[in-house]
Amino acid sequence: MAKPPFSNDIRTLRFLAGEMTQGDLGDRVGVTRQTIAAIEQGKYSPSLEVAFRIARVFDKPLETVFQWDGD
Amino acid sequence: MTFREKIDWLTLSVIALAFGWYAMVFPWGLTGTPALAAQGGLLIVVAVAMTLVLTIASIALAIHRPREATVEADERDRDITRSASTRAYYVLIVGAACCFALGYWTADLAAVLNALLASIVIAELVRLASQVAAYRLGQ
Repeated sequence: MAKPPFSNDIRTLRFLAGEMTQGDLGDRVGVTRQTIAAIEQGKYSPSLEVAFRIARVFDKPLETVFQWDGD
Repeated sequence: MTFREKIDWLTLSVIALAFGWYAMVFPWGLTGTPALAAQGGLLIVVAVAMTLVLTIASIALAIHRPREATVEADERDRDITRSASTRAYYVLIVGAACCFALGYWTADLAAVLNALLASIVIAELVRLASQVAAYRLGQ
């Protein structure tokens, strides 16, 4: 499976947010723990809605959470 | 591993085993003869056994992890289901076309029905295999 053309800092942001677990983040965003794990590992490209929800949990702009790596 | 992925693995294994056994014990030498009618119950046995095993195993999994079993599908689950179903649809269409061709080529009803059954089973296996691959390797 092709990796998405962007990376993310979700793992770091979770750590900085009091070592929030993937399950906690998933509960707050409305997805499963496994989906958060897949997003962190670049195995799944979330929808724009989920991307914004993740950014809102950390109170950060979208581009702080996700960085475009493609051309 | 999510509850859905476990169910996919379970269903994939049970279908592969059940229809693998069906293909092995089916009296292929009798196709085209009246004696084949006596073997019609074989498919019923497979269907009933498969339903029983899947139902009992699904209930056992749900009892073992009740919280996981009640989690609704999220967007990744839906994406995985959608793309796997699309793949399986193409397999089913090709299988159906082959069955039509076989129907013109032979008058053996058992052969045509088994080809149709194989198309459905293979399409379902492709759907389930695509889903477990997407869960493991990424979507």
